[in-house]
Amino acid sequence: MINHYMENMWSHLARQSKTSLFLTALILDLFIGSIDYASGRDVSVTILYLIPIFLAVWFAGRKEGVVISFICIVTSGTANYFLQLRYSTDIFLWNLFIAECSFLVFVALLAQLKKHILMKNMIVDELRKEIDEREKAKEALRESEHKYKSLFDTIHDGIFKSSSDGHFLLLNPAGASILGYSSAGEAIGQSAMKHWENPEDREHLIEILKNGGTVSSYPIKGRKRDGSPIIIELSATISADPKGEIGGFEGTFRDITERRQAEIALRESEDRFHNAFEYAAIGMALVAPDGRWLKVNKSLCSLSGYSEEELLTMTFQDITHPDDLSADLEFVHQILAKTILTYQMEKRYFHKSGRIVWILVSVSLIRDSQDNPLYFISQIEDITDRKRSEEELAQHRAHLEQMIETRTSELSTANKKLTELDRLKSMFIASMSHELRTPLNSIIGFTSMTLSGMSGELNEEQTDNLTRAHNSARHLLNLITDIIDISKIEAGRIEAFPETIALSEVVDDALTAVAPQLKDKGLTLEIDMAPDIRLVTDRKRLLQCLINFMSNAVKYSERGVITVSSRKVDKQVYLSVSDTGIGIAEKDMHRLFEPFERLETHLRVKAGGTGLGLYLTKKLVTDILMGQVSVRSVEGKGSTFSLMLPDDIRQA
Amino acid sequence: MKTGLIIEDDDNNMVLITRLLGKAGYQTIQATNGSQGFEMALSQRPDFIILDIQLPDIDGTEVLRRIRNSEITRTIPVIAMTSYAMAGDRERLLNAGCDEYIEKPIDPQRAIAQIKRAIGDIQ
Repeated sequence: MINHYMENMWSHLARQSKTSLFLTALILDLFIGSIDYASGRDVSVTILYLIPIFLAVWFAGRKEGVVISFICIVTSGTANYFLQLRYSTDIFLWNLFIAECSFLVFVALLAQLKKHILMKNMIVDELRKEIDEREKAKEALRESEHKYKSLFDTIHDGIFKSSSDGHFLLLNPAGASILGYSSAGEAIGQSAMKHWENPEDREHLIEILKNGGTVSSYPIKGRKRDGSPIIIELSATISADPKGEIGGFEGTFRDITERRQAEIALRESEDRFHNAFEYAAIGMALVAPDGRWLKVNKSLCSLSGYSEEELLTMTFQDITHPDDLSADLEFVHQILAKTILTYQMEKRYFHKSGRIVWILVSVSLIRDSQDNPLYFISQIEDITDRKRSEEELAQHRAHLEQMIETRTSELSTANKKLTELDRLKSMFIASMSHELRTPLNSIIGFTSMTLSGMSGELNEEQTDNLTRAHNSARHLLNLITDIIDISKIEAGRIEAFPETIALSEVVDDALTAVAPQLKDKGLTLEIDMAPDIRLVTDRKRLLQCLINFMSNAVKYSERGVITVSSRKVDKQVYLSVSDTGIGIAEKDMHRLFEPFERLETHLRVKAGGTGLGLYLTKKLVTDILMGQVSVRSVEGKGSTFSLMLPDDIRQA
Repeated sequence: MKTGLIIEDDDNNMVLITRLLGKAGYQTIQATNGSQGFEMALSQRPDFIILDIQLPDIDGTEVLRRIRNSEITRTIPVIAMTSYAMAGDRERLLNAGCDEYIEKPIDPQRAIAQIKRAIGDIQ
């Protein structure tokens, strides 16, 4: 401590200006000179002169000490001179000389002493420093050892040292855990050989180590203690023994199984993605913002005719049709300006061969994390065929429109003709109605009159002849009547005349009409009617339908029963005529209500008929009476024809 | 013997009705169009009239209206005759004032019965 203080003091004083020290010594000297004079040159006072000399030498330097010693002699001499002691000048000077010599000896001795002390201090300081440094180094080493030990125990990587024959000499806890040991202690002394999946890998590695000395991040397929596979990344070096022989190996390793699997998965994923891009059925490309192709796939090469190498030296502008370019560039501008996110357009490329390829391009832009445009992703579909089809279609359409125009005018002409024909047809029907019926009415009237015996008795043959003529005329009249009815229904010119009727009365009228034939054939009639059914309908048309059903029933039955039944359920009236006749074959059912269809049966000729009866009946029922017709039949057993009618056609 | 006026334009029908009425024991006078028929009805005052509805000059319905509007002919029974009657003809004609309605083609015996009933010769 004292040394330290001295050192500080020393250096403090040393920093003071030598001039000020010198002045201090000088003032001290003058002060001592005045004491010397006052004391009358006492020898003991003379010793006091040594004080400023000491100060000068010790704190300033040897030269300053010499100067002060001379000043002291001058001061002392001056005091002596003014006292005028009895010394002669010679003795006076001699004394001064002796005194000066003594002072100089004092200065020399003092300087030597100071130098000696300083040297000693320096040596002590050096030693002390060295001791301090050693202490520090020891401390650092201790800390370092602690750190490394901690690192060794806690690091995730395995750290090992093994003998040249492959036994673990050292293994950290992480290493033990990676290799499947419960603790490092368990592994020490064990052979590491069993951790190699392929022992030749080890040979190979040792070869590398011998030649190059170290390996780093060297992947190895290994096995854990329990035999499960593991992939390890090894960094190792040879530790030579003092004799320079291979002493063993040391290094670090880490478990990269998961990382490697992730890498494999990533590579597979990348492969898949690459394949999806490369082998996509449509053209795909990455395009730089300035239009350079950065990556193109096979489909794009094949649709453009250029090889991948060629395309990569070109821009999309190079192969785009000039007429389509500005529209495309406008889209590019918009997508770069973020006005739009994606775009799609149809445009033309020039194939390498020079022909035009129509494409549909869909484009989106990829940006980096700072939002700067990186590249466009373009999907390019060859739509040449579609375009060609569209053009052909357009031509067809134009052609069709032309045809339609022609046809329309033709139709218009035809329509005029048809209108005229319709008028003629109406006239014809009206004419038929009157002109054909009038003579037929005559024939029927006269034959009836003659047959009734009013004009005198007829023999059998005459009666038969006249009956045939009469029946033929009736048949013809029925045919004409049916045709006129059908024509009118089809032309929508027949109207219903609704009136309130009792169903039983209409049935009675119908029975009256067919009674003679019924009687002739010896058929039984059964009536099964709900009482008092009244309905609002067209009486005449209903009667017409009913007569038709009943005369059919009679015509096509040779024996048995004709049954007429009726029911009323809610607002529906059901009326049916059943027979036990020949019935209708399943295959003929669909022809039943068609015009001019007469089914092939053994009764066909005998029964007669126009082939229009059921067709007309169905039309009357559906169009005029607002009802429905249905039929059930079993061939050989009989048929049932039914009507379903609304109870009031005005509300139907 | 009652006399019937037949108003009918078709010659054959005229003959048929005439003979039919003759067999039934009636005298007949004939008119071949509507206006002639009405005049004869006024002048001859027949016991009944057989009126064809489809006539060449004026419609049978109009003739019927005139007969019914005239004091002289108002009470004479009129039997209307139509060829191919339209639905509603029957009601229309009965409402217009005819006493019976016969459809062509004529069934002789039925027609005679209808006529007799209309003129009150049988009940």
